[in-house]
Amino acid sequence: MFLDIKKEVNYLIESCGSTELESLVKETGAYIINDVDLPKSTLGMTVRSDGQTAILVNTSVKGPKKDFIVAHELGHNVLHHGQSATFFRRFSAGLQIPQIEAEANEFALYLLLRCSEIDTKYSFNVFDFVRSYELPDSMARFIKYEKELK
Amino acid sequence: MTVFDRVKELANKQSISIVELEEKLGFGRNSLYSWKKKTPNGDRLTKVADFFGVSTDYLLGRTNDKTALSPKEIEDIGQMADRMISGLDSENDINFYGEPMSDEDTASLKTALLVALEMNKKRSKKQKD
Repeated sequence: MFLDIKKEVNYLIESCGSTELESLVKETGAYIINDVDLPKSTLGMTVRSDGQTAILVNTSVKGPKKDFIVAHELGHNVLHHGQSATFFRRFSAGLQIPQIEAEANEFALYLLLRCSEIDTKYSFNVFDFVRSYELPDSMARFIKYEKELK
Repeated sequence: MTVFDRVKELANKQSISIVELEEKLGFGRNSLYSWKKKTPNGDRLTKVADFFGVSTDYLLGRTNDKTALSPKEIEDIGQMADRMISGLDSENDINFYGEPMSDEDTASLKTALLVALEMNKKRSKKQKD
């Protein structure tokens, strides 16, 4: 199935009227649980039951990377409603990432691009961008909207 | 507020009488009225709590949290978590991929999962209330 991820992100931001991550999560009807320990190998988790969607983020993750994980889980919520595989585990073997994880990464990075105000005075490339979220350079391949970074 | 008062209040909300409730639960006539004075036994208390989807603590007046889970709901969530972790539950969303997890990881994941399932349940009860 072909997903227009960019369109989904833009639509979400437009209907929410904000680029604030927390508001965007709320807009999808989900909520974040911040204070429950997850195993080290699991950075984020989405649990759907009783018509509710809980997004859990590993308590050891702080700062910008946490935003990425929330955005990634949000991507699952928007793109893969009703599909399983909603764990975001440690980035491991790059080629082994299933399609829906790749889509959630793409969603997350585009969303964060939209949310952040990048100062265009400085040269800023895709690698700088993923590094600013403490992500490995290999994540840059999920950024398909390099024009936005100009 | 006695246990009976709480039961009465919950029954009123569902527009059923105490007598009807006794019949539905297979209790003897007027047995619930005795709850005005004495504390009911655990088995019967559990039956009433499950019927209304509240916790036994709520019936006993130990908490005012109406969304606290009933004994059956707690049991259901435990079973749901087990099924989700073993990947047999397709109705509720969760799955694994990537590195195999150690037993320790699986245990801590299950704890987190139980918290999330409980919070989801409580939120859904609150919305219905």
